[in-house]
Amino acid sequence: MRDGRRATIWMLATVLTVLAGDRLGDALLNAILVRSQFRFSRLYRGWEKASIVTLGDSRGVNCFYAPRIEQITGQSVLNLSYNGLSSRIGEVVLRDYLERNRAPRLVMLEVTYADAPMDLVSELRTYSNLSPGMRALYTEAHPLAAKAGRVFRLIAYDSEMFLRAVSYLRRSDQDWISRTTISPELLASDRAMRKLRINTANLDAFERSVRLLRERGIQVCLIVSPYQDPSLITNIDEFIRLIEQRARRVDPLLRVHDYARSGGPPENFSDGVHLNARGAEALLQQMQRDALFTPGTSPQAEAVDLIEKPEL
Amino acid sequence: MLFNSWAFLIFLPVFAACYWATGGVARLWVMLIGSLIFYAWWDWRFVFLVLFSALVDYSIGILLENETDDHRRHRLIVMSVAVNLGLLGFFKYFNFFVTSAGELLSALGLRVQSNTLAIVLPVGISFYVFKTMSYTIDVYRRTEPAERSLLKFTTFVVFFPELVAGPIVRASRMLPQMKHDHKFSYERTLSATTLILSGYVRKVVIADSLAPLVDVRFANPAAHSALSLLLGVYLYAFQIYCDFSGYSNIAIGLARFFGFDFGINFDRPYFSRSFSEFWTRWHISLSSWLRDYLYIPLGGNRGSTFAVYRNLMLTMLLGGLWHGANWTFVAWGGLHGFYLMMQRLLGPRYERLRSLLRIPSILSDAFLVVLVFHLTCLSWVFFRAPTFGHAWQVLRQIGGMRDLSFAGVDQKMLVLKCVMLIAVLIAFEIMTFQPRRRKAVLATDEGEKVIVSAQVPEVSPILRLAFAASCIWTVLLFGTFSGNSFIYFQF
Repeated sequence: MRDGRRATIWMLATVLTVLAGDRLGDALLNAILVRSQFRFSRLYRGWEKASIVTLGDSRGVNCFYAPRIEQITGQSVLNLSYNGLSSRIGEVVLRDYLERNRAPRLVMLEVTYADAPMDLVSELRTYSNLSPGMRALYTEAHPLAAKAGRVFRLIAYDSEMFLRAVSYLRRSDQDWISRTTISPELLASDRAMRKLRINTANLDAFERSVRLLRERGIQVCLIVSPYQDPSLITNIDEFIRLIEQRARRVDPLLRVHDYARSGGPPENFSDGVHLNARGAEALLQQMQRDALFTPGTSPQAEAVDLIEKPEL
Repeated sequence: MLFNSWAFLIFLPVFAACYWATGGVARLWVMLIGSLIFYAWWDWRFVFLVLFSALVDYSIGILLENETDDHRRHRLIVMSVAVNLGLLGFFKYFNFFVTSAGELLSALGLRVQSNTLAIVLPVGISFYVFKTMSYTIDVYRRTEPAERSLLKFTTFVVFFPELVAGPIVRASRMLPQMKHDHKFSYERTLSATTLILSGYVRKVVIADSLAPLVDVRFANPAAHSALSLLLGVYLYAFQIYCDFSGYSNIAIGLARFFGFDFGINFDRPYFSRSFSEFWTRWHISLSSWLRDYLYIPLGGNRGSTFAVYRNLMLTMLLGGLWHGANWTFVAWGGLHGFYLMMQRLLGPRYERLRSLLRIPSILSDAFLVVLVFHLTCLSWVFFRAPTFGHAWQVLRQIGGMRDLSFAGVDQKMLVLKCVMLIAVLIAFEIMTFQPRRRKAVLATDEGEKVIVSAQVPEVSPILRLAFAASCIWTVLLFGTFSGNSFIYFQF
């Protein structure tokens, strides 16, 4: 009995130590998180004043090269794209951004993010304490883990996102871009035909995102960035048509700028679906020629002006 | 039921409460029923297969002990081995042999239709079959008495901590410890808890963090640079080590909590200076099993050089095949057999060269540790790759040294996290290495001499508390909670 009592006391002491350390660690790591220069830390810290905000999944990360867009436009840019970020998650990101920061002039969406699955949701736990929207998505996907996260706060920091936040504690993450070139082996082997997933929940979220932006008078630019070999994506045209349809429900003047087939040589890609620095440069130059960054030049921007003028 | 599942976290306290609340025969029943529930959680139908295996070897054990006629005894042991290997052969290797024979005949120009069966591999069959087989062989050799209690014997076979993925605890170690009830011990509970937690850290934090990085590299080697693939091979070396040693730590810790000493199954294998040393440190329960029941009966170190090499190679090839029904596992075993042969051939020459050049032993040891580790990594490529094609592609890409820049490495952040975790593991293994303690023996409750586990150092309760809390914080901060099964389950 004596041994049993001693073991129970030891275990209780261990549990209390774990919980105390957990809360202390939470306070410490949260302070690190909100001080980071990582894109989502900047979003949730608030007070950002970017004129142009870009959003997408990993294809958005690689095509919206913020420093170059800043150079082209002379305006501040924040790229909120992230690997695997779907339009459902993107909706929460945009909503949170607008709640905490100054509204941008232009939001550019790489619309194939409506194809991304919800895998990134498990990473969102890192910011779930800072955003009810993120928490709701995380709880929906991982109810048990979300409950465990309420007991053990450290679980929230068990993510690649937090590691990135630590990595970008003293420097911005906006200048990252892939600088590798697709290997000849991959170019030869990666020939499988694929389809973009058409997911109603993602399409709905995309539509709500566009509505949210347009209701606030924010110019919206929709693009599809290049694929190395677009002929491998069997339903690209159908996907773009669906996206455009949804966008036009909100604003009939919106259209998708389709650069899927404008990728140029394989040297512009790091793999079959992602541009590298060279490819991004080529795309951004093309977008500049198409006047996508210029305020008031796209038909839709003019429409915004028309809407806003009577109010003035 | 997986050790890293929510179901197990509920099962364990309930089982422990029932176990410590009972004694004598009732406790044996608790152990048996609890273990069967643990196993049935995966697939209840295969419970009957384990029980069948236990019943056959229990009966043959008694018959072997009672029998005095050598011919009949020989027939009995052949029957036991045939039943055990028959079960293993059917469930694990039937399709493999049929497919391989079909491929061979096709290569010879004969057109045959390979008819395979949809066979489910019963979890842990390789482990419990080896366990029961070694029991009947020991009784046949008259080195162990037959167990007369069916309840005790069946409980020994199905005891849940080591039922599905080892370590292969022999009857000679386990059955004497079941002679009387174990008392709840404060010291044991503390050391068991820390051992279990260290096992979870190895599995949930290190192995499961490495798993996705390794998987993507081996699934499509063409998509990765040479450095990325090289890192993938190193990461796999630590993934499999942490996965299996983590499982072993949890199993040994659980057994210790319930009063049993299993000994150790891993002893810092990547610090080995030779392959013979490696095999005394890696999966010790299997390598000692292969030594005692295969290598020595084949002739062991006795006989001509050719005979010794043949014995080594056969043992390692069969050891490879034990791991899985795939020729890549056989190649892995063959490579280790080759390494052991080369060690015997070149080892003495290297020693002469070392003394001639007066190379300090610390430098020589460091060189050998690095060499053995890298050759082991080379063998892991075959162990991990799904096909020879994948294995060759990985080796060709690494050998081609195309793109050795870190920029070409995918998932850099996760790779850095994993490298950091591995560095912490290595530092921990060096810090807790106690050469004197490794050789120490400890008198257990039964008076049996058992090598104590070197995984958890003897420390005060306060330090144990700090260690346990650190393990839990590490799991919370770096753990992967995707419910990955243990690699050795498939074997």
